Formats: sequence, C-alpha cells, structure tokens
Amino acid sequence: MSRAPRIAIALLLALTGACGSVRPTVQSAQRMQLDPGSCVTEIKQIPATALHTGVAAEDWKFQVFAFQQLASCARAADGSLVPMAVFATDGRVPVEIRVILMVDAQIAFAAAVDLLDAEHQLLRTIPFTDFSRRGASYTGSVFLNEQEQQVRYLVLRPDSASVGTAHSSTSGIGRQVPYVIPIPGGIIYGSVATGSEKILSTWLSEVGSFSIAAREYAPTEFGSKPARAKRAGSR
Amino acid sequence: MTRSLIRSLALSLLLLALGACVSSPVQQAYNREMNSSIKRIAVLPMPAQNVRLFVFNNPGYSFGLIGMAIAEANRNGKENWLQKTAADNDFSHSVLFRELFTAAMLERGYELVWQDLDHNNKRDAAGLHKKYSPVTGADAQLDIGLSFVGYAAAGAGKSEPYRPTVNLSARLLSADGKKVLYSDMVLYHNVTNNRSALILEPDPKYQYPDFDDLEAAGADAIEGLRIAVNQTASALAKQL
Repeated sequence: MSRAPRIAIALLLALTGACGSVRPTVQSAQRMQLDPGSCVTEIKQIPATALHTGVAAEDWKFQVFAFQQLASCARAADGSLVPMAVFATDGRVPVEIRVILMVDAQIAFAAAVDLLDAEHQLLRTIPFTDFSRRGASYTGSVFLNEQEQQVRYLVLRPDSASVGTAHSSTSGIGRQVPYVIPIPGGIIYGSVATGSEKILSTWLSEVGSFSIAAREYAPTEFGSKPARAKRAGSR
Repeated sequence: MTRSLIRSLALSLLLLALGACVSSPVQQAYNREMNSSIKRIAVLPMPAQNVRLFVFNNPGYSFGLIGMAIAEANRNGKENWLQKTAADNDFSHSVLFRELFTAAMLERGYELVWQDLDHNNKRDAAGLHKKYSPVTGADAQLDIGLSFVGYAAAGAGKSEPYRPTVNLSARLLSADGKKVLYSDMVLYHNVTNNRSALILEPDPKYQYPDFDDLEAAGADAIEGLRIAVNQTASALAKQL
C-alpha cells in the first residue's frame, strides 16, 4: 500500500472517530424508588439546604443537584409517599429564584415548587406547567416580592400531573463530514457542512438534575455587562 | 443581477452565521408584581421584512464561492416562490403578528401602542435595537425583533423537511429606555439547535420533505406560517 492512501485512511478514521457513540432510546418516564421505612411524617423533619441570595449586580451562582440524591421521603396526609427537596430562603425581598430542570438523556425532572412559611404551611404552588421549555432545559423564575416575604422554604417535588408524559422536540444538528481524496503524490482533504434533523422525546420523570439560584431582584441597566450563570457547587 | 446575487450571498452568510451561533439576548424573566403599574406599552417599529426560505447546513456552501453561488441561486428561486405565494394569500407576518399579539396582550390587561417612526434603527443580530430613546404616553417600551419568518430545513435531504420557522427576540424596557425589565428569545422550530431560547414545537402537519412538496401545498403552506406566527405571539404574551 502506498503512503498516501494509508494517510488518507488514518485521517478519515481520526476525523470520524468522534461520531461513534449511540445512546439507547428512552421509552418511558423514570420513577423514584422510595423506602417507606425512611419516610418522615412532617416536612420540618427534612433537612433544608440553604439558598444563598446573591446581590443583583452579581452573576447567578447556581447550585446543581440530582433530585434523586438530594430528596427525602415524606408521607403525605393521604398516606402516599412523596420525594421532596427542601430549600431555606433568608427572607430577603424582592428576590428572583431561578430553577432550571435539565434535559439529559431524554429525561427531565417534572418539578412542582411549593412555597412554605416559617411554620412549613403551604402558601403557593408553582406547577410544572408554569416552567418554560428551552432547548436543553425547562426553566422557571419565582419572584418573592413584599407580599411574599413570609416565604421561608421552597419544596421541590415531582408534579404528579405532569410525570409520565413526554414532550417531543425537533431540532437541527449541523456537522462536518470529512472527505479525503488520494491524488498522485499526496491527498486532498477537507470537510463538507451537512445537517440532519433530530426528533427526540423527553420523558417527564420523578428524577433528574436541576440547578437553583437566588438573587436580589432589580432591573438591569441597558448596556451593562450581562450577568452570567456560574455553578456554585453540586451534590 | 450581480448586485442582487452579492446581496443574496451576504444575507445567506448572515443566516449561516446565525445558524452557527444564534446569540440569544440575556434572559431576564418579567416580575409582574413589581411592575404592576405597567399597563400601556409602546411597541417599537419592526423592520419590514419578507418571508424567507433557508436550508441550514447546505453542503453547497462548503464548496467555495462557486458552490455558494449555485446553492444561493437555487435557494433564491425557491424563496421567490414562497414570497409570491405569501402575497397571493394575503399573508404579511408583521401585520398578522401585530394583530395577534395586540389581542393576546389585551387579554392579559395590556394596551399596546405601536410606534411608526424609528429613531434608532440600528439593530443587532437578534433584530433588537442597539440603543433606546425615552417614549412618552406609555409606561414601558417593548422591542421585538422578528429575525426570521418562513420555511427552514435542517439539511438538504428528504429527512430534513422544510418546516414553518419563526425566530423572535424581545426586550421590555422602562419608558426611559434605561432599565431592562424582560428579555428573551422564542424559536418556533429549533432548526439551529439553540440550547437556551424558549422553544415551540412546529406543527407536524406542515412539514415538507422536498421543495416540490412545499410548492404543491401552496396555500396550506402559508397556513402553517399563520399558525407559527400565532403561537409565537401567544408565547411572548404569556411571558409578560
């Protein structure tokens, strides 16, 4: 074999090597397995994760979690078992709390958010349907203004009305397809832009990753440096 | 002829650049309670634009200026057909958007005042103004950039059908134009695989594997655009 075709084959393999992995298609929502023996009877028994409020001019500092790792099990009044993650606010207002439910491997955590007072009494619920579908996540903003300064806890739990359903998403994927042409004395190589369409179902589940951050609310000055999202930590 | 081709190529390069990295405006959710006094909103003028047709990731664009010129000549003919069909079916997306968005906002308790005279007409890639002047007779000003309305395909093959596509960016500012109260991007048909914009799924009834299929659909294809504009207008109103 002459040198040029061997280089051509090696180059082709190197260029196409990155495209080899294929993930299996997910066919249903993922449920969370709960151990009834570990369930508490009152929300106040669940340790709350502190939600630090950043100042308005700061970048968002997101904390990232896997719900299934953070959640504790609570037994509801009707006897049903509910996994939930509790966050404690510092009572400052006005505040914007941003929750991002990541779409990963065709799964997204279909969360509802309950706002509780210092006595763990329910004040308001934000259902999953109030979250907005984005390219790679579902996002929701909760504003705590003067009227809601009694909010002390946020509880994230699966929204039973949405869990088990699937959303379809159609998107275009651009890629470069390499070509290598052996010619006498060498090779010509390059790449051609090509695209394909991907239609995927996202299964709304009881598990999944999410990130959360709180920041004082104040409208930004037009033209000021935009605040970026940062990861503050993860579990 | 040459001038028109150069203009067309420039537009295509812009669309290619947009496809590569559609820069969403920084997302800011709207705090309704804190801004409850805002009832009357001035909507800044939107540039008059025609419907577009575009194939993202068209291999033709990979073969230098000659390849691009051939691909562009082909696209141009198809886009001309779409624009003529839109006109024949009395479809103007800016007129329709204005009508539907006004109604959707009225339902949410807002009165819109559409501005005609554009004082600052320089815009960014998302179609939003680069600077703002104060407005009078309104509690806030809303800037809307419809950077693409038309049919787009994710690739050149039959398995990448033409689908109705709308790219919209919006920014709500205080009446003096100094404070940003809301900012986001809405995409009907995520042909560019944007990760952060609000996404609306295209109606599967209006998908055309080939241009011939789109052409055969005629008025039906325009109905697909009406639905796309309607859903985009509703989605934006829902955010405010």
